[in-house]
Amino acid sequence: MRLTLCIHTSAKSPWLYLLKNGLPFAEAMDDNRDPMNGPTLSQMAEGMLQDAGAVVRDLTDMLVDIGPGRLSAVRAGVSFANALSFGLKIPLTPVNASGTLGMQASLATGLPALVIHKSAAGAAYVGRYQGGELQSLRYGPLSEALAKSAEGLTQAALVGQEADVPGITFSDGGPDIITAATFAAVLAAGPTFTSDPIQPITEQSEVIDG
Amino acid sequence: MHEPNSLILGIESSCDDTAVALVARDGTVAAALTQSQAEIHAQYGGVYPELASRAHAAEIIPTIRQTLAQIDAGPEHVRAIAVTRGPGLIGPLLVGLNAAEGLGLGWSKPVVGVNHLRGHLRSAELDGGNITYPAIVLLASGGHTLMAYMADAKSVEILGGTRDDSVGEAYDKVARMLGLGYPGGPAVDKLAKTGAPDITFPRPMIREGLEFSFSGLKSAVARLVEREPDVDKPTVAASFVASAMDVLAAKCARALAEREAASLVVVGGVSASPQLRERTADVCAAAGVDLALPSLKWSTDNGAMIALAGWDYLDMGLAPHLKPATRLSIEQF
Ligand SMILES: [Zn+2]
Repeated sequence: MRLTLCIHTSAKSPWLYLLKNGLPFAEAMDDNRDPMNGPTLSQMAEGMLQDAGAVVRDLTDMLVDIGPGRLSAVRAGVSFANALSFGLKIPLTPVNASGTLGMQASLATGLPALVIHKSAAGAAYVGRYQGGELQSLRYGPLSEALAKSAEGLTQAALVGQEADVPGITFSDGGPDIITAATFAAVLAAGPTFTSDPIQPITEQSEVIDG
Repeated sequence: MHEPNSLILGIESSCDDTAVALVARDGTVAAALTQSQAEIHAQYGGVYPELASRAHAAEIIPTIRQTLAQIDAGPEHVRAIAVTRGPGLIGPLLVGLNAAEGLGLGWSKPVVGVNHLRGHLRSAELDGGNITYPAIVLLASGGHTLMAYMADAKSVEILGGTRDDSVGEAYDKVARMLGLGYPGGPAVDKLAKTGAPDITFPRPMIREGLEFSFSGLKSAVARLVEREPDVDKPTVAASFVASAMDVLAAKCARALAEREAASLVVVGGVSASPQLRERTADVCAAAGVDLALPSLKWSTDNGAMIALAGWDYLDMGLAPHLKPATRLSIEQF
């Protein structure tokens, strides 16, 4: 049996999903308003596994959403994932939230896709994808990051939130959040496992000062 | 070879060092590794929290792996994982706590969240060190400066903290004024040894109580350097260190006079200062008490002190919530 632990980090605090033989099977969410007082990831994972009639050593592999998302949730989720994968000696695959949603949108619509992830203080990550490939990932004030990412486009699929850029017609790019189904799709597509500790996406974007 | 369950794996990531160690119940350090981020932060003249978080995220698993490899240890040797839960920077703490949790879950080992300051207290008992109680404690580092009283190994009563800067901060800022880079402590001490303390800087609060204040001293150095850019740097360093040491020594002597104690414990990054070691030795000789100091390598932040404090938490059955506590008093666990 293949039992895959998936860690979603785009919310205030991480959520967990369990895939059994590639299909969504169980989940655990922290609905505490204050992430500093909610359950820890171990507590959530243990509870979810117990409800699913499994133990931690039954896990065969892991996927982790490396963002962009909430900075602290991404850091927490990725650190936890790296350590659990090291401790259990099971493979871990990074899932780029912006990339996965953007590639899905660009493949589904046949258009370039822009994916917006709002961050703190009016800043945002904006990813641009075409035909399943990343063209750019920028971080900065939303309007600037969006304008820079949209340069040269007249039509695009938009994921994440409504936006207005003069001269561009946007169409709906579909889901704006990684779900258990997204993780299942990544797993079905054949994930790229890594043996090195993986890094949050915050460490990889082009920063626009503002 | 080590017995099963005979070591605690300690993880420290509250500031700018990613540190891991394996420590036995008696304080023997079986393995330890610290990845310093000093180079990363040097250009900012202090710790840049965002970059610290990134570096911890990148280094923590390799540091754990290499520490285990030093003595060919595996999960079977580990009784528990102890990790700094605070005080410190939120991002770095999150990385350490979540890594500890993931590892604890994977290995089926308990994870204990430790107060970093309690770790510093125990640093004086690593590798054969011993504290006799009751004790007066001076904790002096980049983040903290305080005097405390310990009736026994577990109870801590704060006698005085700092009203503004820590002494370590003052050192770092003076180092920057003198162009000595970051971290500034060792560089200032070294330069001070080549000069004479001919400038009289203020000795804030030296005559009153057990509280500290270092911003006035720091500002006095800044004003002088601004007014006389060509001032002799070794003289400035020596004079600054003399002021800081006079204050620290006076507070230690006063605390020993006010409270019945068998020893003075000096811990924290500034306890690596040769000048502070000499001065506190004099204070202890005069007061007729023991001096307990960590060895130089356990003076600055390290994983071993967190592991040894972790043993205490296990003994006492303490299991604080494993979420970052950015502000935490030394009186808390
Ligand atoms: Zn410290």
